Amino acid sequence: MMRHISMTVNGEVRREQVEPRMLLVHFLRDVLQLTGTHVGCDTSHCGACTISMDGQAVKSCTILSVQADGAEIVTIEGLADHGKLHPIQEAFRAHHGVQCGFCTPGMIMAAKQLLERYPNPTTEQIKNQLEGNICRCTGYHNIIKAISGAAAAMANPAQNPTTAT
Amino acid sequence: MLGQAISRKEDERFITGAGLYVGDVRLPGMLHAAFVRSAHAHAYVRSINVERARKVAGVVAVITGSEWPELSATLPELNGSVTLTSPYIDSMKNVPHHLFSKKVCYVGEQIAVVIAETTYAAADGVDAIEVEYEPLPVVASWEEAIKPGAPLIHQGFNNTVAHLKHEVGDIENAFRNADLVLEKRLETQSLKSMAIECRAVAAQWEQATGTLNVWSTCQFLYMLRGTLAGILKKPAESVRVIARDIGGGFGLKGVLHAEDIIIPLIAYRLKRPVHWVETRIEHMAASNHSGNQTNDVRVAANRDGTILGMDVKMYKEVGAYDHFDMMLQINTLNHLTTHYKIPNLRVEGWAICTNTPPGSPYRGAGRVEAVFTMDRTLDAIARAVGLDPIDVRLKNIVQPSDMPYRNGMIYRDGVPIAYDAIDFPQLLNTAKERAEYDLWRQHQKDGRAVGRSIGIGVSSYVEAGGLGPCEGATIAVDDQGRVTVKVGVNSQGQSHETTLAQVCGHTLGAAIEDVHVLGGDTSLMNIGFGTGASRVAVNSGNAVHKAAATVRRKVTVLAASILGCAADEIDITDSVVSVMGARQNRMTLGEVAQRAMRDRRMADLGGPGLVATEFFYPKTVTWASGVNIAVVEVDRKTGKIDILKYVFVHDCGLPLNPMIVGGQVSGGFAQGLGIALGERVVYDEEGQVRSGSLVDYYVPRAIDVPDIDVTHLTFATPDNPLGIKSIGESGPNSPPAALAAAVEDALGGAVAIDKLPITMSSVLQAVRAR
Repeated sequence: MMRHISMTVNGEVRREQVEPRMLLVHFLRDVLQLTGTHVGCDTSHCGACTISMDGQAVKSCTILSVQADGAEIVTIEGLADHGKLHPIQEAFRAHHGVQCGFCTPGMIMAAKQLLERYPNPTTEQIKNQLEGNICRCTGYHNIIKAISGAAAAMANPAQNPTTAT
Repeated sequence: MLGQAISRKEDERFITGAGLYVGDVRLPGMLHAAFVRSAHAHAYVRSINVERARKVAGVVAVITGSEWPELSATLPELNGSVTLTSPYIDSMKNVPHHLFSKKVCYVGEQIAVVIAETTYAAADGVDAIEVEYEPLPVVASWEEAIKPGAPLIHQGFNNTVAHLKHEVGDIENAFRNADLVLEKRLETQSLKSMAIECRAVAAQWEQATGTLNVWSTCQFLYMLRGTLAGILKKPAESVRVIARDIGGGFGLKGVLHAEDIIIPLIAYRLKRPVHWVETRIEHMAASNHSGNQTNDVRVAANRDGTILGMDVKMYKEVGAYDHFDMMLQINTLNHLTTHYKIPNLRVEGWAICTNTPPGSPYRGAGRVEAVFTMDRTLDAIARAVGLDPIDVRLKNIVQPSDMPYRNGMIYRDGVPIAYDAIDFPQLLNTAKERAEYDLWRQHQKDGRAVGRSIGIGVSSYVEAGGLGPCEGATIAVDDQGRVTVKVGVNSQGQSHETTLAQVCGHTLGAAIEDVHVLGGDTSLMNIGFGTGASRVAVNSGNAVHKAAATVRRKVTVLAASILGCAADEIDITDSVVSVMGARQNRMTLGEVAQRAMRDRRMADLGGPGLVATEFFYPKTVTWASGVNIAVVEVDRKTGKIDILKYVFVHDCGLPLNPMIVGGQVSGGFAQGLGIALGERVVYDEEGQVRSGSLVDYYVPRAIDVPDIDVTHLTFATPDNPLGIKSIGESGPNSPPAALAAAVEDALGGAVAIDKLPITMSSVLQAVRAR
């Protein structure tokens, strides 16, 4: 028994048939072949599968794809603007916030919501907001620097070298 | 370029979601596998009813191990970077580990595989399978396993599968002459590497070339290639193992697990690609763990704090199958004396099987156990003789004037250990200054007067890295000036594509953006020894250096001939080859490469093209080292540990890229913090896993990790051309010992903190025990 669903993913309308039990993360990875969104735990603890759904950071392993019917989804693949990296992406590279890269897409998507909530976050706010995202490689120090750096770049795009085109 | 903090070349794909992990492999006609796993820790499998599963929509096959002769294979007896020569081990008996066994020996052991068109159908198939067990008595801890009359885990084998002993000096004499003798039991817990990417395998029989292509999360790809080729009775080249983007390894992926072999064998037989991606629950239950280790210590010392001798008994749980001989205990032994002189030493160790998943290394690989044992012992002596912990360390420290210093141990490569060109007192004194040690001792005193429990802990580590035998590199320059560096190792996040490009660019004179590092594919290099034991920078780094130097010689000789100058007048910078001082006479590296293809002068330079392969053989391991100091405050009401200051001083030789070294220290520290404060694999007495999810197994979150004050000292080594040492396993070694010491100190030393992890409840117990 298949269900028709339709959603906008990274600006493109996608209409597909899915099993009602299919998780959103599997829909993105296996049906749409958007493999940038990762699965790290299946139980919504690690945050590697974080995407943006109607402007909210959501763990895509925790909802069914039918629940996203009609939604507007942005994944890591849709964050750059016509090839120009988002300041958060730039900052993760500039501050060495990436080692193995597996948690990175979820971290960046979580950071996006974090900076929408707190455009000028304190270190404490960043740490608290990252509660749902686990990184095993970096010890978080450089991720925190990257998010602070991204906040500065987004507040003042002209002055920060990491956002230069 | 070398030694500069340039950003990573590999990051572009990771920050855009374009990384290609094994779970991302998509192949035409690909099938999906799911495993039926044992519900019991020890049982005979009496029957497997697969009839219902075969009828599930989408299920293609159910495999129980009897289908094809190659499924009766065993896993490689010894795995990965194991002991090459072992002067310590005097008995060892390995138990064959079958891909499918009629007797399961741990919860989660594979019993059958369902192959289906989708992952969902495969899971449905697993649910439809009924297994009938005949449970057997379970031995879930090493303490139970060594009791007289304990149930045997493997018929015909003792539960203790290996034994070692080693003695330096005259230990009995040391105890006879000591002012005091202290005894301690130090318990370090079993851990999981807990990479955020679980394990995965994809395999495809490529009919057009007769090649079995295997994508694997394995750290030791050549071992997987050799094992599969051996089972299939094919030449090694007919199996291609690809392991490019791996989402963290830390040791657990440095092991061949049964699935790594079973999935390719099924793909080979079914002639369709098969994909298996481990779930986190499977990972927690069935993937390897590091095994509990208990070290019983007797130490002989004088009243002035001088250690005369140590007598250590090491009990190590190795799980149901021991694939690492006694490598972890040997690492503990070889790192045990850290920065200190232990003139007389006796160590005896036992490797003990239990009904838990097989054991394997986790980052640090026995070093955490060594450091915890040594530092906790030094702290006990300090307390017994009334000295400050730093003073007792200075009393026993190996001085620069003692170099080269031999501690009487023999490394796993068979070479006696010798420290050289390391200044241990400088590491300790720098840490003491950075920590404002004396000031915090005053704060501690002042705080005590107003009911605050502040404590300070010190820990020192050494890290042997760069274990051989060797690594190779092939460097080629194409006619566009693109420089390709091929290496026989793969990355789980270590930044090889950047650091090895820096080495190549530096030595050859190529611009960093022209250098492309390729690894993690057995078709690139025919030989490699794997990523583990902090060995890539030293081995592959120096191999890249040697190969780049060879290519540079070819460029220099040919270009000098073309440009009409002497070879020593040639300069190569930023991929431009020029005659020094003469601005006009220049070629690009690409132009030289183009000429090198057909120019007869290359006949004397090793043949056509700018290409060279070189191997680097280290004499023995390099010794990185460091000192950590922790200042904590303990909340006596809740048992919460607040880290007020954390200082990390270390040496790893010349850093290839200080930013990346810093990242290794941060990440390793956080793992050490997890070991100190909460990480623990727990099995109950029936062998059921109690740490089965990321809720039950603590992993540090951002809010848990304090800032650290890092100081890099550089004691370059003369033992390799680049003067580099390792950094990969430095981070986790000292935080458990430093934090245990700080907590013990905060509570006034009344209760010894000798067991990891130091949970809030264990702190509360210590508070109440006072």
